[in-house]
Amino acid sequence: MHVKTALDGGAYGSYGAASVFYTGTLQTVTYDVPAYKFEGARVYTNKAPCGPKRGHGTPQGRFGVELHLEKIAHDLGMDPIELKRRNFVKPFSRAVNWLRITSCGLEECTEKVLSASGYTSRERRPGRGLGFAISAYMSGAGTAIYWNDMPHSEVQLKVDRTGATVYCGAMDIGQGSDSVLAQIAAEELGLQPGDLRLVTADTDTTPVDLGSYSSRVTFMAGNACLEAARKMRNLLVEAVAERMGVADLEEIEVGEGRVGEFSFEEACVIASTRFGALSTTGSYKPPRIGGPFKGSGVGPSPAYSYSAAVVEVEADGRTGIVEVKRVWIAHDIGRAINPLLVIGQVEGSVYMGLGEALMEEQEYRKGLHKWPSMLEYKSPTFLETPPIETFLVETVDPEGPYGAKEAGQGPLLPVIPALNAAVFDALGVWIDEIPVTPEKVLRALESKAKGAEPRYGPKVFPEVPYPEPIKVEPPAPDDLRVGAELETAFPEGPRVR
Amino acid sequence: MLRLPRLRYLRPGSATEAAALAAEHGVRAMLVAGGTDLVPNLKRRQFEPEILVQVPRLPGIRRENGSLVLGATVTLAEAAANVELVAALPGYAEAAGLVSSPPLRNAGTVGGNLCVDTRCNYYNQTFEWRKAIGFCLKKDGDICLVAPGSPRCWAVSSSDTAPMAIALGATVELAGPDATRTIPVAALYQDDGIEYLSKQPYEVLTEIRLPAEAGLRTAYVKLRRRGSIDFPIAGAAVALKLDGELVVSCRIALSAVAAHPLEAPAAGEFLAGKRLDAETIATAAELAAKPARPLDNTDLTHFWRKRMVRVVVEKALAAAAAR
Repeated sequence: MHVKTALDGGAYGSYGAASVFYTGTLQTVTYDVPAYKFEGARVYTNKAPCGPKRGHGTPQGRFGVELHLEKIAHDLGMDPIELKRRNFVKPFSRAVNWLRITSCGLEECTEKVLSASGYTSRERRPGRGLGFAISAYMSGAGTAIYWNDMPHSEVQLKVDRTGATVYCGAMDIGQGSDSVLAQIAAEELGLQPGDLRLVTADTDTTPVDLGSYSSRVTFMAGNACLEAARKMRNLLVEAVAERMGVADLEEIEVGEGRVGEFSFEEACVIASTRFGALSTTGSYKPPRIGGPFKGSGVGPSPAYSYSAAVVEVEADGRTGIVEVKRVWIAHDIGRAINPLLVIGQVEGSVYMGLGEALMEEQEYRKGLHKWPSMLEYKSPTFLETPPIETFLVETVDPEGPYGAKEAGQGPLLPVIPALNAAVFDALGVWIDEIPVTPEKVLRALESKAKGAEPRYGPKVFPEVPYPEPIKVEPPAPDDLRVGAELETAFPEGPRVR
Repeated sequence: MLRLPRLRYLRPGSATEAAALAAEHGVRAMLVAGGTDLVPNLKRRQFEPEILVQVPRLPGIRRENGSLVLGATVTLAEAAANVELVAALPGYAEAAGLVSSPPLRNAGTVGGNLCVDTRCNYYNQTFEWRKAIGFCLKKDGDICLVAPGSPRCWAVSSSDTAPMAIALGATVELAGPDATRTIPVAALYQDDGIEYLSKQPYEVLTEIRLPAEAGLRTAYVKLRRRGSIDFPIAGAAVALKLDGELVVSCRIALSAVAAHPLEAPAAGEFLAGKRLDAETIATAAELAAKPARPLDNTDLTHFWRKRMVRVVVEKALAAAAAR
C-alpha cells in the first residue's frame, strides 16, 4: 500500500505534524498490509488555525483506503465485503510498521452489522443504498506528548470509615470518565459506584494524568485506578483475614458493601488499626511498542479498538439530496465498563461522522471563512440524525482494565466512507470527497450520463516534493515482544536499509 | 461575544402610539416585535438605532367575512398550530411552521416574518468580518460583493410566509401616527435588497388578512439544508382553485430567489383551464422557475439552487392538488 497525504492546516502548526503522522502510521492496523509506503506533508496556507478532532488524522486515511477497496472490488467484480474481510488484520499480530495488535473484533463487528442490516440480501433499487466500512483506533497514545519515562496516568485512593475517595488528574470532558473510575474502584472494593468520592482534574490535589485526548482515559487512568483499588482491597482483606483468623486470603469475599464478615466501615476500622492511614496508589505506563526506527513514536498504543458500520441512504437522483435512513454500527470495546456510556460515545461518533460526510466544510472565499457562524456552518440537527443501532463486541483485551478499550473516536471512522459507498450503491456514482453535497451528486450523475467517469472529486493528487522516505525492515508478523525485550532485541537502535 | 449596543427601549400602549414614537425619532428608532431577526442583526451592527419601539401585543386570530385575520404579533408557533388556519389555509400554517426552529417560532411573529430583513452571506456577518472583506452596499460600503458590477443590492428575501400571503392575495394593514391604510402584501415589497419594503419605516404592520375561500388548496415547500433552523434557499407557495380536474386559478410565489418574494404569474396563467398532470405541472414549474436568479449569497451553490426552483414548485403544486 502506498499512501500520500497533504494536510492543509492553515498558517499555524498546531498538531499538524502529528496529525500527518497519524494518517500514515494507523493505516496498518485495519488491513493486513505486507508492504507499506507513506508520504505526508503538512501544508501551510493563509487560513485560520486548525486542530485535530475526533479521529486525529485517521478519518482521511480511512476514507481513502475504504473507498479504494470498494472500487477495486467493483473492478474485480467481487463483493467488496469479501475483499475487505480477506484482508482484515489478525488478532495478536504485528503490523508492517511494528505496531502491535492484540485483541481484535473486526470479524465479530462485521458479522453483527451485516446480519442486522441485511446487507447481503438487501433490496436493490435505484436511490436506495447500503455501504460498509471498518476502522481501528488507538486506546491512548503509547508515547507521551512530552517524552519522558514517568507514568502516563496516576491515581491515589484514600479510604477511611466514611468511604473511599479516588484522586486522579483525568478530566471528564463529558465522555463519562469519572464514572468509569468510580465503577472500577467500586468493583474492587465491593461498593456501589455512588459510594465513591472523586477528586479529578485538580492540579493542586490530584496526581498527574496526561489528559483527555487520544482515547486514553479509560485504558490508562482506568488501569492506574485498578492498580490502586486492588492494593487497597488487599489491605482490607489482609486485615480482615487476620481479625477473622483466616489464613487463606482467597477465602475473604469482598462485595455487597462487605469485606468477609464485616461491613466496609468495620473493615476500614480494622485495617486502619492494623496499617495506619489507608492510602494506595496506582500508575500506568504503556509498554514500549514502537519499532526501532525514527518516527515510530506515533501510532503505538497498548490496544486498538475496532468498528464496522453499515450506512443506509435514500439518494434522490434528481435533486442530489442524500438522506441517511439508518446506521448499524458494531464496536469492539474490549469490555464495556459502562455500556450506556459506550453506546453514547458510539452514537455521538455516528452523528459527528455524518456531519462530516454530508455538511461540515471549512470553505474560504476572498480570503475569509465563508461560513463563520454556527447558523451558516452546518452540522446535523436531531432531524438529520437517523436511528442508530449499536452493537458492542467484547473481546476482553489482555491489557485493558477488565479488558476495556477505547470508544470515543474509533466509531466515527467507518461512518464517512460507508456513507459514500452507500451513495454509490444507490446511484452508481462515487463522490470522492466530503462533504457529499447535492450539487456534487448531480455533477457526478451528469458526468456518468455523458459517458465520462461516474464520479465527482479531485482529478489528480497534487505534486508534493516529499523527502526521501526512510526504509524500515518489517518485523516478523508474530513477533509480539514489547518493552525491554524489544529493546534488547535491537540494541543498535534504528534499523533502516 | 457579540453584545447588543446600548438602546432605549420604549413600550407604547397602542400601534398608533408606536408609529407616532417611531415617526418622532425617525432614523434613530426601529420597531421591534418578536426580535428574532432584529436582535442578532443589532449584535452584528447591521442596524445601529438608539431606540427600539416595541410593537404592542395586538389581537389574535379571528374569522371575518370569509377571511382569516391575524394580528401581526401572533407568533409563528401560534399560526402554525391554529386549528382554523390549518384547516382552511394549510399552506400558510405550513410556511409559518417551517420558519427557523421551535424556540424562535415561539418568539417570532407573523408580522415580523413579513418584514424580515433581506439576507446575504456578505451582509449577515459580524462587523469585523465585514470590515475585513470590505463593506458592501447594504451596510457601510459602496459595492455589491455578490455581483460587483451591479449598481444594486441582491440580498435575498428570506420570508417563508410572504410568498404564501402573496399567493393568497392577502392584504396588510399599516398603522401610521395619523391614519391606517391597507395594501396587498405583494405591494409591501420592492425589488431592492436594501429598500425591500415599500412601507414607511415608522408604519406599524398591525394585521394580515388572508382570504380563505372554501375549496382553495394551498401548499408551501421550503428548501434548506437541514430540517430545522435554516433560512429558505428556495421555496414555493401555491394557492390553487380547481373545478373538478381543471385549474380555475393558480397563484405561485417563490421565496429566497430574489430580493423580494417573486411572483410567477406566467405559470399560473399557463395552468388556468388545464388539467393538473405530471406534464402540465412540469411546464408550469419551468415557467415559474425562469425568472428566479439565485446568486452565490446563501447556503449551498446557486448552480444547484437554480435547478431546485423547478423541483420545489412541482412539489408545491402536487401537494396543493392533493389537499
